[in-house]
Amino acid sequence: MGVARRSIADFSRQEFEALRERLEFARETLHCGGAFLQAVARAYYVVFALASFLAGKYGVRATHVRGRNQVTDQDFSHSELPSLVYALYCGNKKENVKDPGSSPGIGSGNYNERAAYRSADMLMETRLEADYGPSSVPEPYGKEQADRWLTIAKNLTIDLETLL
Amino acid sequence: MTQSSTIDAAVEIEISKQHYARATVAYLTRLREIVGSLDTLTEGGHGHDYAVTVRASEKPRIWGLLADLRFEIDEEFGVTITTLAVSGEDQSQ
Repeated sequence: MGVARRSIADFSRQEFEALRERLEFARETLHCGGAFLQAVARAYYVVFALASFLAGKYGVRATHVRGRNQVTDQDFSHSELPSLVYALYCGNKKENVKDPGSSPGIGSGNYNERAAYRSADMLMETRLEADYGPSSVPEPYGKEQADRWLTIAKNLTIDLETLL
Repeated sequence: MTQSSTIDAAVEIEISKQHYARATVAYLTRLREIVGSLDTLTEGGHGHDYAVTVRASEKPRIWGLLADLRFEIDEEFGVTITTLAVSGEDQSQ
């Protein structure tokens, strides 16, 4: 009888803000300490947490396989982030996000929905690289590239914040 | 009625298979345009359909192109196919 894990979509605003503050503090601390790829990973999680929280607000849901069952819920996998971001940007369904909910969309943001999808996907890949990727050096891409990814994450965050 | 439904379902599955096959062919053709040789293409894992080995230094550029490809195939066929870019030899080697 374990306690079910709550998805971020179910968080209260206060719980979400606490999570976000924790992630942003980690992002800045890691960046200042020269752990650039891990800083990008934290920036990715800021986007993931924000998008997941917004999914709760606007009723965005994904249909995916859990065990042997097909379920529709708001517990998003990381590979679903691009399509979740897409749904929030334009209010349309994409891939596993079969129920786009009622997002009013982001009219004139840093990105359109397609660029946002691409950016979210790139951040997800970078996060995988940060946590699992094999490389011969700890920082294979350097500060300049990491800063470009951090800018992408910041742009997505600014756009999505308009939906809070 | 039951028989008709069964036939309908069978036809639907067959069409779905053909549709997926067409999507896969289109995907692999375009994937080759992105990464050149597909000699390093393998069955993916962890939620990826395929994995392709590329130079580590090329991964950031290729990630964006793979995201575009996944987007396009989903738009055209309603089929989601993903590829994980795996680090190969570094450019300096």
